Amino acid sequence: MNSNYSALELDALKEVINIGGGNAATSLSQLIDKPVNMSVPVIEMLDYSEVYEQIMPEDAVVRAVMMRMFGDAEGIFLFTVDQEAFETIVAMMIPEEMAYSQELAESALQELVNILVHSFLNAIIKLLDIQLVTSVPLLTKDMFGAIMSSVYLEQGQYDESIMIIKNEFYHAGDRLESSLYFVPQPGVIEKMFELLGVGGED
Amino acid sequence: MSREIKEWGKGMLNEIKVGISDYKVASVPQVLMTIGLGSCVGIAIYDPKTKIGGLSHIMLPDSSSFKNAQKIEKFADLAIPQMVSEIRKETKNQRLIAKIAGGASMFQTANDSYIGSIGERNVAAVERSLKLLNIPLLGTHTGGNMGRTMIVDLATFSVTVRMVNRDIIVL
Repeated sequence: MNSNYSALELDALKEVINIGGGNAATSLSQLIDKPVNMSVPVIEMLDYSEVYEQIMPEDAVVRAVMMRMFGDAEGIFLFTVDQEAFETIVAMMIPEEMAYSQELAESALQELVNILVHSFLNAIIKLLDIQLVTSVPLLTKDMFGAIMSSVYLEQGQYDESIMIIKNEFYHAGDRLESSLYFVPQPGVIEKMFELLGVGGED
Repeated sequence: MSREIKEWGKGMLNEIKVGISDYKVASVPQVLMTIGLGSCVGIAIYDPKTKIGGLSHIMLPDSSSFKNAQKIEKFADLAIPQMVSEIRKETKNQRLIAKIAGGASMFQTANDSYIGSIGERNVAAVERSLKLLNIPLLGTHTGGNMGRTMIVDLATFSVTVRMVNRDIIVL
């Protein structure tokens, strides 16, 4: 993927992800009825080795929920969460009187991602005036490295360095060890710049 | 630092880590290891006489559709022949053997044949490359929808494949 975006283009991308992520944080907050904040989106070109050093080691076990995006642009949304944040988030979602089961907890997580991604996309659809739909959420529990490399490769991103685009969520000042990654197919970001009228000045 | 301490704790002093899009050649008593194979494939190649071997972690099947495939270690069709020639130089052309793992589709979908095609294509390309080099494949653990960690003991060429659900397969 082209890493030589101009400062203006990167700002525009950051703003779009900020708007999408902000909308997602608001929905999350309504869902669990507690305040949820979001950090400034992370947008970085990193080698896989840097991803595993700076974001999470490749052998860290995470639950990951994946949703494919179709329509005027294609890509994948990937939500990753470690065991502790998984338990925290699920505890906030499931009423106390309900009997806990692993199946119920994982189903709740999938539904949460469904809501996050759709609120993210609703904001983007309005902003860019495009048509986007998604697949149902799919969940797996596996090594961070196996999941990340496979998702980027499946989206046609074949370089050793990948563009990390993600939002992180906070609750009551604590970082929920969870991130929503957006992995576009090649060309999607350039198309978005065109729609925003910031592309092609390099 | 914490990682080093962890490895000391495990007693894996001779462990050599192979990253994504890389390969390493070593000899007994060293242990080669690669972590987090998803759709990627790990290829272990070994000479039982000299106990020299290599481990490669490829990302993609085929370099031919890339105009400037600078990173040889990334592609099955380039990485395997190069690693094999490095091993053969050290072993003076002994008969080599191979074992492979990986090539998964991390997200299982019933009706989407697009997902996971990379994993399958990687495995096919690796098998083709080994056949061309006349190296028999003695063990495989490929496909499925789980990530794998591959550990190659160069004393015996036992290849341990670890999965997150704590399953362990020895090839």
